[in-house]
Amino acid sequence: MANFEMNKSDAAPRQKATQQYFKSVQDSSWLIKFCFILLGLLIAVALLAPLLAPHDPNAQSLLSRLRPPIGFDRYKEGFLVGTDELGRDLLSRLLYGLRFTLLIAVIGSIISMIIGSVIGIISGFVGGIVDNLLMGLVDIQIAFPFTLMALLAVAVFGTDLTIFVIIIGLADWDKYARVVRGQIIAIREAPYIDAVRVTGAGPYRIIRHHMLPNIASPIIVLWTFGVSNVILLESSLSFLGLGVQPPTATLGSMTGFGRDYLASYPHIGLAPALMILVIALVFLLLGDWLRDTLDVRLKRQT
Amino acid sequence: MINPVLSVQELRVAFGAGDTRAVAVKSISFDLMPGETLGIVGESGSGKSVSALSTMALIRQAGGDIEDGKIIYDGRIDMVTATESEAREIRGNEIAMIFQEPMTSLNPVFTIGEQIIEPLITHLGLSKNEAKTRALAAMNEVRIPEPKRRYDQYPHELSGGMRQRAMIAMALVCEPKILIADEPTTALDVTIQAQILWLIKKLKSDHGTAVLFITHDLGVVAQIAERVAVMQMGNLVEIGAVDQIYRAPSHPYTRKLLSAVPVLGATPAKAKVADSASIVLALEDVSVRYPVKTGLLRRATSEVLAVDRVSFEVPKCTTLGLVGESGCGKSTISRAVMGLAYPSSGKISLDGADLATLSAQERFAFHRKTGIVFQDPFAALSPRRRAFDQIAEPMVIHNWGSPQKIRERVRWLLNRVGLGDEHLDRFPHEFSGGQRQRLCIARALALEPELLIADEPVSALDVSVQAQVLELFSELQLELGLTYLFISHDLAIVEQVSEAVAVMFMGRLVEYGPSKKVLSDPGHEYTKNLLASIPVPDPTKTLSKPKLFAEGRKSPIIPYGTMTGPVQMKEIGAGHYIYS
Repeated sequence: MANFEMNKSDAAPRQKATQQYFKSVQDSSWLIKFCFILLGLLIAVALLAPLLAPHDPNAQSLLSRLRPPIGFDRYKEGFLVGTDELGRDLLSRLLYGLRFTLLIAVIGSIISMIIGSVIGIISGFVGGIVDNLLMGLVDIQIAFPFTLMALLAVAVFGTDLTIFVIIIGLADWDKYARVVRGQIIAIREAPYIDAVRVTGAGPYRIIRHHMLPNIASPIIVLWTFGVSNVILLESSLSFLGLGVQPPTATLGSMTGFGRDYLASYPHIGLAPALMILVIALVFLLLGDWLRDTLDVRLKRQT
Repeated sequence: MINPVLSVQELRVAFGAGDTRAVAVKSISFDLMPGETLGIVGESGSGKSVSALSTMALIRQAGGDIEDGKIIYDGRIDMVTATESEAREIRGNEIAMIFQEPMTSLNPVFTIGEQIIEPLITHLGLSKNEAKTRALAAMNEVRIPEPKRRYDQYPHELSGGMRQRAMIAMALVCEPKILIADEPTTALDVTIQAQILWLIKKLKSDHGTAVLFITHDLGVVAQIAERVAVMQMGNLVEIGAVDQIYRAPSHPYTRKLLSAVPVLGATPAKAKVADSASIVLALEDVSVRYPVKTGLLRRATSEVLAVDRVSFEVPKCTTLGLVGESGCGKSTISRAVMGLAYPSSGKISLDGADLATLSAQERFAFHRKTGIVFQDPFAALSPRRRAFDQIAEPMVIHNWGSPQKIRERVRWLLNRVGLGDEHLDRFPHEFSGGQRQRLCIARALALEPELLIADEPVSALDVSVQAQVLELFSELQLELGLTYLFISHDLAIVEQVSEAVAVMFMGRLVEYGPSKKVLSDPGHEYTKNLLASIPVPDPTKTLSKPKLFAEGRKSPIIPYGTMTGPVQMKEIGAGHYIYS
C-alpha cells in the first residue's frame, strides 16, 4: 500500500537522519553528554540491581538499625549508604527502588502522553460538539481530586503494580490534552495543511505526517516534566499507603518513610530524594536538548 | 550651504556572533537634507530596514551591532555613540518612525488617543488636556474622519488604512525633523496606498519634514521620493535624483530591478495558446456565506456574504486573472473551487461535472485534476518534511506509481521548476522564498492537474524573483496545456499572464472581460479607481489626489437568510461585462 511505498522511498533520508542525530549528540555540550552517560548509568544500574545490590533489600537486622553512611560515626562495614529504621541496607533498597521508580515513571507518563495526545488531537481536529465534550471531560479531570480517584481505584482493584502504573498514567493526561488541542487548532488552518487537504489526503495522513511532526516539541517537553511529576506522585501515593506496598522499595516511598527521621537520621530520606532529583534533572535537560534537536528549523542553514 | 539633517557615514552593521556572524550592512553613506524625501529601495535582505533601525539607535534591540561608522543627527549628535537616554530624547521627538504592519504596531489594549498623546506627554511634558487638543489636530490633519470619536476607539475598531493614519498621526504629533517610513503601504490595498502616499507627501510639504522612505516597490518610490538610494546585499549601489535613477540608471543592478517591474500596458496582449472552446472551470451564480454565531446557544443570527452570485468561465489552456482588494472574496472563490469551502448556492463545475454532486470516490479523483499554489511559500510547506516528501506526497496519496516511478517524477518535477537533485533531502527552511515557491509549484503539478489555482503566488517575492516565477508559470502553461485561475491584487501582473480578467469588489463580480480591454478601457467605476491608484514607476507621472470609492462599501454582514437579488451584467463590448 501507499504507506509501505512511502517507507521504502524514505529509507535513504531516514538513515541519514539517524546519523545526523548521532552527530548532534557528539556536537552537543558536555552537560548533555554527561546527562546521556548518567541516564545510561541509571538504566544499567536499575537493570542490574540484583547483581549489584550487596544485600537483600528487604532483609532486616535490628542490630544494625539507623546506621549512617560511610565516613560518619557508627558506620557499619558493608553498608555504604547506611541503614534505615529496620536495619535494611539503604544502598540495596535504592538500587531496587530505582528499578520500580523508573518503570512506573516512564510507563506511567507514556500512558498519560498517549491518552492525552489522542484526546487532544481528536478534540482539536474534529472540533464542534466533540471538542466541547472532550474538553468538558478534561475540566472534570482537573476538578476531581486525584487522590480520591486513586483511593477508589485501589479499593476496587487492589494494589497491584500494573494497576498502580495505570492509575498513575491516568493522572496527567489532561495537561497533554489541553496543550495538544491548542497546537492542533493553531495549525489546523495553516496553508501547508490546506495544501495536503486539497490533494485529497485523509485525516489519518494529515495528522500522522503533517500535524504530529509539527507539534512534537511541546509534547516532548511536557513529557519530560511529566516524568518528574509522576515520580513525585508515586511517592505521595506510596506515602498514603496507596502505592506499591511495603516492604517493596520505591524511591518515593523511601523518601516518605524517611521523613520521620529527617531531624535525627537525615540520610534515610535524603538518599532517595537526591536520586529523584538526579532523575528529574536528567530527564528535563535531555528533553530540552531533544526538542532543539528535533526542531529542524533551529538547525543552521546550509 | 544647507547642512544635512541626517548624515550616515560608512555605516557597518552585523548580526550574530562567532561563525554565524553576518554583515547586513557594509559601509553605506548617505545624507538626508531638510525637507527632502529620500527613498531607499532594495529587495528583501538588502539591509534597508537594518539601516533605518540603526539611525534610530534601535538596532541593538533587534540583535545587531554597529561595527563602524557614524550617524550624525542635525550635526550635533552621533546616534552610534549616544547613550540610551540621549537616543531616547531624539527618538519619537526628533526622529519618528512608521512601520509596515499597522495591525501589530499599535498596542491593542490602548485607545488610539492614548497612543497618540504618549509622545507629547513624555517628550514635550504637556498636560493631558493640551496633548489631547494637539492629538485631535493631528488626527484631523491625517484626515481621520470624526477624530473625537476615533480618539476613544481601540485599534481593532479601525480599518487598516485608518490604523496607518493613526500611526502617522502618532509619528508626526511632535513635529519631528525626520520621518522614517519602513514599507508603510506594503500591507495596504492600492486604493488605500494611494491615499496614504498622498498624505505623506502633503504633510511633508506642509511641515518641511525630511522623510526616509523605505520600500521594495519601485512604483511607490517614483511617486514619492526626490532622491533614491538603491541597496543590494548590504551595499548602496546607486544614489541620485529620482529622474536620473529612472531615466538613466548607471548601475547594472538598478537596471535589472527596473526592467523586472511589471508595468501596466507595457506587455503586449497575451497570445491565445489554443483556440479550443472547451470550458474547464465554470462558476454559475455562486454564493458563499459564513454564519456568524452569537449568544449562549451559538445560533447563527447573521451571515458574512463573502461571495455573492458570481459567474464566470475559464476555457482550456487559458488564464483568468481574478483581481480585487483584500476581503473582496477572491480567495474564498479559490477555496470553494478547491473544495475547502462550500458554496451556499450556485454551481461550480470542473470539466462539466458539478462539484456538489460528486460521490466520495469522484471527489478523491477530482483532487487529481486541480493543484494550488498559495501566497506565502513559507507557510505553505510543512516545516518538518523534506522537499522530496512534500512533492511525492500527492502521488503517494493517489497511489500514482511504484516508488521508482515516483522518485523519477519528483526528480523531473524539481528539474522542471529549476531546482536540482541536491535539493531533494532539504527542509523548507533551507530554501529561499523563490525556491520555496518553485517547490510549491512542483507539488501542485505532481498529479498532472488540468487546473492550477494560483492564489497571489508572487506577492511575497522580490521583483526579480517574481519575474522568474511568472516566466515559469507561462512556460508550464504552454508545455503542459494548463488552465490557470490566477488571483492577484497586482493588475500589471494579471495583465501579463492572463487572457481574461474578472474584477471583484465586496464579494461581487463588477467587471469581467478580455484583459487588454478591461485594463485599458475599464467600464466600471471601481475598476477605474483601482487603475488610477496604481503607482507607476515613472517619476514624471505624478500622483493625483485619490478619491474614495464609497459606492457599495457597506458591511458584508447581513441578517441570516437574507436573499440577494439576481445579478444583471451589462455587456459593453465583445465579451466585456460590467455589473450595473
